[in-house]
Amino acid sequence: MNNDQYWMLGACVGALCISVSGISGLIYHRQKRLIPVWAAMLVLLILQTWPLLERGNLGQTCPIRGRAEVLFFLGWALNVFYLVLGRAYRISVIGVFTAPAIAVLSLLAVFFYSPAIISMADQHWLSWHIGLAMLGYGALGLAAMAAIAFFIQNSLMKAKKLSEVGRKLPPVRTLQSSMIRLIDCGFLLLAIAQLCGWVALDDWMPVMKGWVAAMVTVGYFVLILVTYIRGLPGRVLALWSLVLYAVSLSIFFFLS
Amino acid sequence: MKFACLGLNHRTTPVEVRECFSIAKSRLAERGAELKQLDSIDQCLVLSTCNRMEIYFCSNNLAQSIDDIRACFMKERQGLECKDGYFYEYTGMEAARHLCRVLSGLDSMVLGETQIFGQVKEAYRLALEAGLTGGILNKIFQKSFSIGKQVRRNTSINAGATSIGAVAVELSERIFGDLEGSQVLILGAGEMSRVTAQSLKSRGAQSIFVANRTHERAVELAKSVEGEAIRYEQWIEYLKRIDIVIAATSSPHYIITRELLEPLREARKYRSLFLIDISVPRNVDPAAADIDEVYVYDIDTLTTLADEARKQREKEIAHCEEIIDQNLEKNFHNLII
Repeated sequence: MNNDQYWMLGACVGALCISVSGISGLIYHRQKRLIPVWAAMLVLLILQTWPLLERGNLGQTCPIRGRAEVLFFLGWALNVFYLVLGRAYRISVIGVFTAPAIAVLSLLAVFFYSPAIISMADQHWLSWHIGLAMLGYGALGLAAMAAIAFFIQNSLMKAKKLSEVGRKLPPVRTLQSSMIRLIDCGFLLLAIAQLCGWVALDDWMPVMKGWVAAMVTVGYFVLILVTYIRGLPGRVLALWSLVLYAVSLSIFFFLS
Repeated sequence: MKFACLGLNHRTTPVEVRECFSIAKSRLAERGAELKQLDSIDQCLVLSTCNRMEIYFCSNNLAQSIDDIRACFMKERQGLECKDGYFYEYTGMEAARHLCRVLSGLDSMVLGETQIFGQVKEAYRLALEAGLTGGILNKIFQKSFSIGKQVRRNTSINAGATSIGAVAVELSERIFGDLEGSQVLILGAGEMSRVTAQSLKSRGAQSIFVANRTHERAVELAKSVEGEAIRYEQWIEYLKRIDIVIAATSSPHYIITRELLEPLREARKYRSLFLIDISVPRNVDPAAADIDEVYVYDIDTLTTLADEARKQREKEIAHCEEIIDQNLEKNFHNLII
């Protein structure tokens, strides 16, 4: 295994540890955690940033060209949005859902790893397209994590259970408003990324992944429109957040 | 120098006697100063809440001090029949244990309640500022505060809500988060509505509307919760803007149904709605809970949740006592003889 792979594996293991610790902290009471979830995620961010920096320095380019790099970058973007907006939106505790997602992405990155570094030095529009898209998916991924938390909190409330988990999760309304804000942010980044992508294309016949990505972007746009104009029940908003994010992840199957 | 506690509380004394010994917060220091003037008392602190009145003191002659304090209090209450069991005395390590138990909420009427911690801290602050405490009492109280915090942090003694009002608040916060800006509609002007509304208000709910068939009773309740009385015929119009409804009318049938709420969903932009039904027979049709964004809790559910929380707290008692025992010997051995 290469050095980069070790770092990626390290990030995966780190994320798994945070997942286990976070989930057990959510379910059980007693001792205060030694390290809060957000602090552990910050340490994880360092583990994630290092291999990206290394590859970026080697190729003198943003390391988002191969499948492994994109997946790993996606996990990095998810963590960045969690750290930047999680506390601001009072949803720090959904780090316990974000960490497993990062673990899965990091593990996939290790699995699809390729040592080849593809330079995009002359492809500025493409660099912008991929970079902004990753950040957009980071925000949308966090919205999907908030959606999972919403489903749990909502079902506990509907089932009339005042459990320890429910006490620790953010309130229903906080999760709803966070989902909307994150989708707004993610959509904006994704839309700009789409434009950059279309500009970057040499051929005016877009590839399949371009159509899927466009469909996802339109999907999020419709979701935002309906939410602001008509309103949506939280459960429906959460469901579509998850569905659209799952569909968007399929784009990465089109990558080499 | 010996440490002791003399007092009475809700367990040992009926309220009509307890209220005779109650001391207003503004007079705690003054009362403490009077007691400190007794020859047998070296340092003292007076604690008075709605459920207890206690004197914590240091003395070289405990028996004399206890007699002096009793005599001082009874002198002012000549006609009062004070039975033997009303006052309790703790000395030495047992007094320290009692103080730690009080701070941990183990001796409170509502097990694990948090208010007592602040009340003891305030009593201590007043005594300290008035120069009524000394080295030993200061150390005992400071260590006790630390133990009390440790108990609350490491156990679930104050987790969960143990009254219907508190459960309603906890559920509201689970749905809406910060209740500031939340709008509450009370249907029916009974005591339970008032208690629940006041609980919500204490946590930030600002707009409270009261509707009752007898408008005068609605006005009376609205005044007591600093809300606004509305005509009973108009309450349905308010549903578009309301976040929380407390239903407590004597209506024999459902007044809030799924059919009533469905047409309002779009106007409300599918915002969450919390229906607290504390009436018997129920005012809210359980089918209303089938609507995605509507949460319905009836009196039985609220009572069950409160009971569960109480039982959960009771399970924590042994763990709390263990923490107190572990810390007593470690922290107080050199202070208390």
